[in-house]
Amino acid sequence: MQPVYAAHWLVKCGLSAAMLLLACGIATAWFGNGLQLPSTTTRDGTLITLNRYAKEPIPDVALVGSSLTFRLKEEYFATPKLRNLALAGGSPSPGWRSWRTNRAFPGSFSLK
Amino acid sequence: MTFTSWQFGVFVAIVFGAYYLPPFRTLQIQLLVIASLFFYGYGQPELLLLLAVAVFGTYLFLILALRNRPIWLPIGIAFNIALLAFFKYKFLFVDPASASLIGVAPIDFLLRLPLPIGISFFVFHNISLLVDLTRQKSAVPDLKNVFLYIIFFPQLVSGPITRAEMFMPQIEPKYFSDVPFVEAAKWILTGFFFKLYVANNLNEMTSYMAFPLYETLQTQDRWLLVFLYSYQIYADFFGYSAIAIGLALLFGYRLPINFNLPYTSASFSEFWTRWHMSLSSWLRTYLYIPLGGNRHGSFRTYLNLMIVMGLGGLWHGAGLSYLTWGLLHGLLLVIERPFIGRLQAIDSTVFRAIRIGFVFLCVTMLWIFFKLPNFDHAIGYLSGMFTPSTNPNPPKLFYNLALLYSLPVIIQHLASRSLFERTLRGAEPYLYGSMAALMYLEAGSETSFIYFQF
Repeated sequence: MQPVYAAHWLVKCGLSAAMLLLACGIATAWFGNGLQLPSTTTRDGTLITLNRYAKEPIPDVALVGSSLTFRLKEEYFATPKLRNLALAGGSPSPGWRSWRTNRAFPGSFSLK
Repeated sequence: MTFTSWQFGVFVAIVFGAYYLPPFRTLQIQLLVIASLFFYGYGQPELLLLLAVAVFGTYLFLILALRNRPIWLPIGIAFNIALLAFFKYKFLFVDPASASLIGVAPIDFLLRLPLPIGISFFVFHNISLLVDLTRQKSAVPDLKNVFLYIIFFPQLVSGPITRAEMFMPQIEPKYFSDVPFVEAAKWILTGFFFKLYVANNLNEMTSYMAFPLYETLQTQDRWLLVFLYSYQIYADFFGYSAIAIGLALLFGYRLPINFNLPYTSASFSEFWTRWHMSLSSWLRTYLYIPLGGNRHGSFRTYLNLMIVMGLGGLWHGAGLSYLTWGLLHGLLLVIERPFIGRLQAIDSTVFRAIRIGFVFLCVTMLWIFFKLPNFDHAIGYLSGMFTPSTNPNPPKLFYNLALLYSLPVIIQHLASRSLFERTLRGAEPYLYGSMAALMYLEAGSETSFIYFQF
């Protein structure tokens, strides 16, 4: 009796976890990443921005600035290899400094 | 190797698979000892030597103490306390990064060794072994049994601190058919859920309590973060303990429960019967009672409480903050002691709720000394909670997320036990499955367990 109960319990548990993961996978495919929870703090968002620039190839154009520039969507620009390095709540200098210490420069900067 | 790494998952799967194979039936203890040594030495193999010295030394003193307890028991205890004191408190006097220390190569090597993970826990196991077995006047145990008791990997790094008289009788052949899989799964899933979903996500926010980041916080956020840290440290340590209990069950061992809804305590003495219960029990058995407990009048009782709590604080770390944390808890115990009978006699739900709130507030405020081991930083944080902030651009904390990540702790403490044990019993596997999915989908960034540093 005990092993049967244990097996049933574990199967139900595993199936419910799998179903939930599947539902979330389908929802993400359907609705995109808009369903994702935001970063825990605004500065975590900044870290995400910086990490993204550290890991991705050197862009042709980089925007550096603060909250106003941060609001500019990259998709808005025609230049495909453009990256927005603005840090909301900060100043243009951290973005500028991070590029200055980087191994290569983008083609051009736009500094607010 | 941390419990939350994939390497640990592979390690447990291999050991579990081999453990119940018929050819290993007679070698189960040896297998667990080897696995535990591998677990401990993974990443820090140089510390295996220290572990070996601690176990062999304790075993030698155990043999001697079983022949002549009055002489060898204190020496055995002193040996273990010396180990703990040397490795834990040497950093108060030496800087391991400096070019020249003593000038004697072997001593310099020892001084440069990092704090051995879990030393506070296995030293307490050693002392328990010496005291319990010599008190019972038992026969000299096998060395492999002693090894297993001290270094059993689920409890090696952060407990629960298991008393020898509870663990040693459990050492016997184990059978696959006896494994309580459902109970083990519940403990392990709950532990991982509290660690990955609650503690790791809250850590993203409470990392702003560190110096100098806390200088940027608004006053109300300082308050919020203290409460979030209170939830985080519970989720982190309860999570670790739950995983340890579940893993031990897989190998046929039952470890003591370490937490029993501590934030529902209506008094400070009750809190210490619900928080880190294995440490409280150890301190009561091996320190408070031998000091005289409450048998020698009020003044000695208060003094004993202060000594035990002060040493309990220092056990966590060599620093004024930890000492202050312990002594303040001791002071609260001393202050409440004359009134506890009268307070408990008042039969009122509202009054009990007020008492629970007050104990929770005090315990939470004292966690500041735990979070900030530098005493000046702790005082700086504390004073900032009572002065308006002047930073025009503070980091924004998302309060809805703070609530979302704290909710499991709040529900666990506030929901009645009968809700889970009777009403939701049928839905239990689905609830645990949902927890498994949620901890995978919404796990916070990887951080080590808070109690690993002790």
